[in-house]
Amino acid sequence: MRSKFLALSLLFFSAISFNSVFSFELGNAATSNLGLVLDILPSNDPEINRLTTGQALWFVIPPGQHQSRQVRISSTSTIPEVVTLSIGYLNRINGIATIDDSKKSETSQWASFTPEKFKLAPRESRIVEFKYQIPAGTDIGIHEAFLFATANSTAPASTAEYSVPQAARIATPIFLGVGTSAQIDTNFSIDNISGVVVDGVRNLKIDLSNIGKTPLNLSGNVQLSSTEFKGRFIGPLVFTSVVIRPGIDSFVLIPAPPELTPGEWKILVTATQISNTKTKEFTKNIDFKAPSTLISNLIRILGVIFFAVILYFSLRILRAPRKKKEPLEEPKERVRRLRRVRKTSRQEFEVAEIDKIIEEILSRSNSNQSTSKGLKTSKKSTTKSPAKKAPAKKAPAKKDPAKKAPAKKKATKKK
Amino acid sequence: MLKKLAALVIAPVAALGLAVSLTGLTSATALTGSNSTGSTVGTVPQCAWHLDGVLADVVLSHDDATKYKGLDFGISGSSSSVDSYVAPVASSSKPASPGVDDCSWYTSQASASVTISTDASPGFTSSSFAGDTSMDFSLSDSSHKLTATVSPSCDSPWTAPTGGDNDIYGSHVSGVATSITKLNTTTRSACSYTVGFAATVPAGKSPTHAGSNYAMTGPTLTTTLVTSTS
Repeated sequence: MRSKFLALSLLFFSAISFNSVFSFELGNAATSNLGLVLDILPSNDPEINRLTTGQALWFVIPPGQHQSRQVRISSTSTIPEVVTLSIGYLNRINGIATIDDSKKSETSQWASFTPEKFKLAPRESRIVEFKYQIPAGTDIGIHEAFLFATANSTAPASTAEYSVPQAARIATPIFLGVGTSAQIDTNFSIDNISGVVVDGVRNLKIDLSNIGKTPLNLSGNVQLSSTEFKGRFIGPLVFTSVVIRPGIDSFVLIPAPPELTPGEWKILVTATQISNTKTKEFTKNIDFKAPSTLISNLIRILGVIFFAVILYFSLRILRAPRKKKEPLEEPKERVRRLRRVRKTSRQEFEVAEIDKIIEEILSRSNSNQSTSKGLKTSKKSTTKSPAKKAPAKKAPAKKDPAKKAPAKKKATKKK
Repeated sequence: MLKKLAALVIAPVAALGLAVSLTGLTSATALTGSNSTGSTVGTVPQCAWHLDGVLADVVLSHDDATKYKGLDFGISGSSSSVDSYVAPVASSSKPASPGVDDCSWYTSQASASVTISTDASPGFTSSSFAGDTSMDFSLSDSSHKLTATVSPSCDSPWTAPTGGDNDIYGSHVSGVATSITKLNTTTRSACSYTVGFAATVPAGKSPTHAGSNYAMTGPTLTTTLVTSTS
């Protein structure tokens, strides 16, 4: 009895434990989510820290040398993950770094990771050595790319009828300057400050130029003091620029406070990129008039007139009657025409000869026999008929006006 | 009884007074001149962007569980909630109630944007029967695509996705599901979203192993969290 009770108890507990294990696995399967964190460990290189904040992934490496940074990959997943590190193509659109997976970064051939691919248990972290080795002879220049950390599931493919596998990826931009820190240096200029109205809002516009070799992300402030009213100060008005690439001019808009009235102001602009701070003082007449449309309208009107005149003359030229040009005859056509002309002139000649012969015969017969009316009429009909048939008819016709000409002369004389 | 009650009220007040007195005394001592120059500065952990909740496999199914009969066959499914959030670097899950000072960005405040992308020629393939590609189909254009509808539950300043921007098909670059600028990023920024997926198995397919089940696997979708300190 006691042994039966023990056996039953064991069976009961094993059933409970099996159930709990089974339900736990099911629960895991239901929440097989991928997740990760990418942490760039601060750089210890003073040259890098001079150019950018310690955690931005910047490298400045002369050709033939190498440099390393450390990144920490942590799993936020409940399942094991396979993490792969790689370099991706960075396409900067309006200052914003965007991924283009269809292209390969030119820097990927110089990059290596230790380790490149590894397995992370749930909630585990791993530090990876990211190294750039620049071959000797590489051109001095700047490059941008993405560092990718991609997490995939280690579980076998789904057996569901239709499924879509997913991967989780974190991307962060890399700046790589090939050259010495003197060759890849930060430099910029504060060019101008003015008042502008954008979408009906009054703004101070600061013009900036990146004249260095590194991308800029400037932060700074503007302080104003009125030259007309003593003791009237405004600011500091803080600003942050978008990323300004080397060789590019950009601007920052700062909303103008209501107390900033039109007039002459002494303005101090301060802009900073890490340890590189520049200031510039302006004494300017600030107003917030919307840009005059007079000049643009004038240019537009002049353009309209200019193009209208061109159009008028073009149309005039187009409408003018064309000089009739006889189309150039094809050589073959010309030969055919000449042959035709020769043939007709030969026919004319033959007809004229026949006429002569007939006339001769008739004259002979007239001299031998007495002339009869019937014969005369037959003579007329024979002379006319060939003229009608052949185009040679024109030849005798030409003679007619010659005959008429004296008649005309007589008429003029009569007058 | 009354005395006890009075003592109960007075005791904490006295303790508080004592604490205040002691603090004042320490300050007074410092003010009157201490030669001590050593001090400790407590720091909060570094903040970092986290990506979490990307389902390893999204299962798609037909609405009424019927089988493919040679006609257009719609399939759909949904991802779990994907989270992009700021938390201390060492945090391994999304904090239930994040505090302002749980972490600091120090000098590394970063923007974030989430995209969903795939390889250049996406499609559904089957490996159920070796060499049998009779049920495979590609997502080649806007008429044959994997519709991805992103539904974020994030208020401004997170951007809202544009409908159709995240659909998956050949040569279509993924749009941004949602993003936040560097200036708007705080130590508690967070955004969660789900993605609804839908595709159509085209009509006219003739399965070599008709009557069998084909396990069709779609293109690998990569959810990317792009963070940038610049």
